[in-house]
Amino acid sequence: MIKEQKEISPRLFKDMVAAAYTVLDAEKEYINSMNIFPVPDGDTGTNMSLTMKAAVEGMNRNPCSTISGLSGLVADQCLLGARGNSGMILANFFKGFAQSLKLTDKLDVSSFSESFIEGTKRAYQSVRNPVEGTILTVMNAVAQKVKELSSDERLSTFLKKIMETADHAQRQTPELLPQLKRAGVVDAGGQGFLSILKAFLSVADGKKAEVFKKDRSSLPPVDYSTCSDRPHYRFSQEFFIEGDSVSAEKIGSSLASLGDSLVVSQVENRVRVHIHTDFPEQVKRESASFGKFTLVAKDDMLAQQKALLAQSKIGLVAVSPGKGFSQIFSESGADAVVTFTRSKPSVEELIKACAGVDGRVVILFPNDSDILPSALQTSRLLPKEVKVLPTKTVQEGIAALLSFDPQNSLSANLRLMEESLSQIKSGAVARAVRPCETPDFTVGRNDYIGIYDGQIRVRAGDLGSALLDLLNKIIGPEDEAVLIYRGKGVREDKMAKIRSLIESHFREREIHWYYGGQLHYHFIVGIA
Amino acid sequence: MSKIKIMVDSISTIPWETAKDLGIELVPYYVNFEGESIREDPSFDLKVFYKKLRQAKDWPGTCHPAPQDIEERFRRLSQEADEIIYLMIPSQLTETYNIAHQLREKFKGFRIELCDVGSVLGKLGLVALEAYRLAEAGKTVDEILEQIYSFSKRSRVFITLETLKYLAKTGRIGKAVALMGTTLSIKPIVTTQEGVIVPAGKTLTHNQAINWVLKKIKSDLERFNARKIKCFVNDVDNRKISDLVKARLEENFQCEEVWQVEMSPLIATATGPGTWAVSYLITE
Repeated sequence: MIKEQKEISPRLFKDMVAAAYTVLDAEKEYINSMNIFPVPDGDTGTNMSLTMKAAVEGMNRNPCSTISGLSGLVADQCLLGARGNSGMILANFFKGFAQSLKLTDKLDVSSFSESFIEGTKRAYQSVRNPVEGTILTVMNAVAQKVKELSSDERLSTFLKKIMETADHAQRQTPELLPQLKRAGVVDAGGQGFLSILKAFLSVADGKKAEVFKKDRSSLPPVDYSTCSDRPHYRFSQEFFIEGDSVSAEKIGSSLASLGDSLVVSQVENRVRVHIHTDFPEQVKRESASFGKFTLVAKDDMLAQQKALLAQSKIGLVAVSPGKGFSQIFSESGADAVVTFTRSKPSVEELIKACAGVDGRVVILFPNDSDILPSALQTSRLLPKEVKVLPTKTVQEGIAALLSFDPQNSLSANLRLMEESLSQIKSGAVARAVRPCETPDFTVGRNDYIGIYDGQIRVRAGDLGSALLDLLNKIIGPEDEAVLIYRGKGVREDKMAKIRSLIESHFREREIHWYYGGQLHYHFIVGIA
Repeated sequence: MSKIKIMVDSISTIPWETAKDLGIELVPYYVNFEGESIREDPSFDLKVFYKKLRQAKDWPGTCHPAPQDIEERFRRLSQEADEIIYLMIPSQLTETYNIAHQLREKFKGFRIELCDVGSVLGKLGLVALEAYRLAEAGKTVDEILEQIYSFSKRSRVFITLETLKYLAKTGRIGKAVALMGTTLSIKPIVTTQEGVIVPAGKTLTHNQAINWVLKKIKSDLERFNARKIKCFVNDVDNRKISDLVKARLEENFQCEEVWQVEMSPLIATATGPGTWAVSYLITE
């Protein structure tokens, strides 16, 4: 039975490496999403998966049936195909791992431990300035742990213990690296390494690896805003130098002053280099003096970071019934405002506004019960994810917008914003366009009416009294602030009288007057 | 067992009497008001100060502790104790750290640890009180320093302002500047993050701000899988609200300690009348 196994056969090793690639490939987006160090360019998962892919393709091309042969092949192929910082470190790990197996040509618990220690050593050596709280920390924790483990362990138990240690170390990475902590993530490279160990364990157990395949929106929020500082160096450059007497050591020293995140490794007469630099041309010139220069990849990390920051943002789009409100929405954090005057905005206008803002997800505030259906239609039509917060009034829209916290996840924000809707009472004053009956009184044409909760609650012959009566109906003992938004139809010079009437009645409350600019309502009031 | 003394900035708002009883050394800050440099100390009459503040034509300035105040304490405590831990407000906000750092040179051979907790008000106070308790329990300086780090991770301060106007005058507004310049009159909530004042939230009323803070405490308790807190409630001439906040805290959480203290004059000057703050430490 596979579970009783104590040795890893060449066939099993091959399966393990193949599974490592499969798991990494499936989890790469998840790993990408937590990539903020050394530069938030969101590609660690992809890079590590490409590195392992090279190993798998190499194994498929070259039939090989010994452990030493296979592990050497994996190491060399990883080095040749390595992408990114973590990929280079991983490749070097396999290089050290394989080195140690050259003589024994047997992979059991005891030689696995030794190889792991050698691999970790080599991984550290390959980096000019090793940083803790990264993939290196996870490797090192396991390298320390295997020293304690008995070589009599069953393979499966052994790998399980390793996995636990790695998992624990991975959780600790934010404590060692403040950049991770600030962004609320664990290290991406470490996570990738964990995926590999997980794959190894499941193959040894004879099971299929459980893949953590979550899309980004369901993941805990990564606060990319904490890593909005410009990267130290703009370009990430990867290349080979090929020549008869090339030396990783010499190339490394000559490039050290040109950048950081420098990883240099050698496979026979080829040296593979990864560097972050501002001077790609100089790096190329310098390196080419040692041998033939072949570029593998050059990324503009500044551009990658910008794209990532834009993508992780939640866009906010508000519908506004007047210029004054539009300004308030913009100042309160809305990325786009759709202002309407006489007729309500069309679905097309809403789509245009939502499509135009940055962000993977948009929250749309209709701010009017009549606009809600168009907003819902917009969310169905746009390929981008649009969440409609069902705000029935502008007052609710403002309250919701204020409670938005860019550091929260989308779902936490939606919950908070929905809760905020109950924290504001909405009312309005308008002029009746035709006579009507309410259970309590009759409204004549041109009477001023006060509306609260969708019902006509007061009527009055003049504007000031209508506003006052309405406020008296709405304001409860627990209310602190009264926000009054003047409509387009109320002239500034009429305001002094109305202000003093209202303020003398509600001395205990904070009364704030704003210009809303709405067409139909003389006043819109929000009470909190 | 070596004797460790705790020194802490008066901005921690640990009451002077408490500090005296416990043997915690408070380091006073200064407010420059109407041509006078007034020291934060027990003789400072807050009532008179607030009254004058509300009518002030020229808003007062604030000042870090005088070097001689720090040096005098170092000298005295070096006679009484074997080691000192001085907890102070962030070096991003004042010169205190640099001053203390230079003065420390004069006391070679006597261990003085300068500890920037990265925060102000009750958060600094709560951490200092815990440090004091550890020292009383016979812990070493290194053990205490390690714990201080963990306490500062488990604690927060949220300051609700009437306006950002006063904070802006101090020039220490950092990213909170994003909350400014709005037509809408909101109650901004700010906090400290690694020594810098940053925006935390926006609400329309004090009541909403209280609910906002309660939610934060609740989510922190969940995050740390804990039930109990210790807290400080500070206010600038706003006793009514601080009573309400205290009541709401006690009604919603298991509070092991609630310190209700008026704001230090310096913070009052920096934040303006009506400001109130809640600091809490998640204990267990």
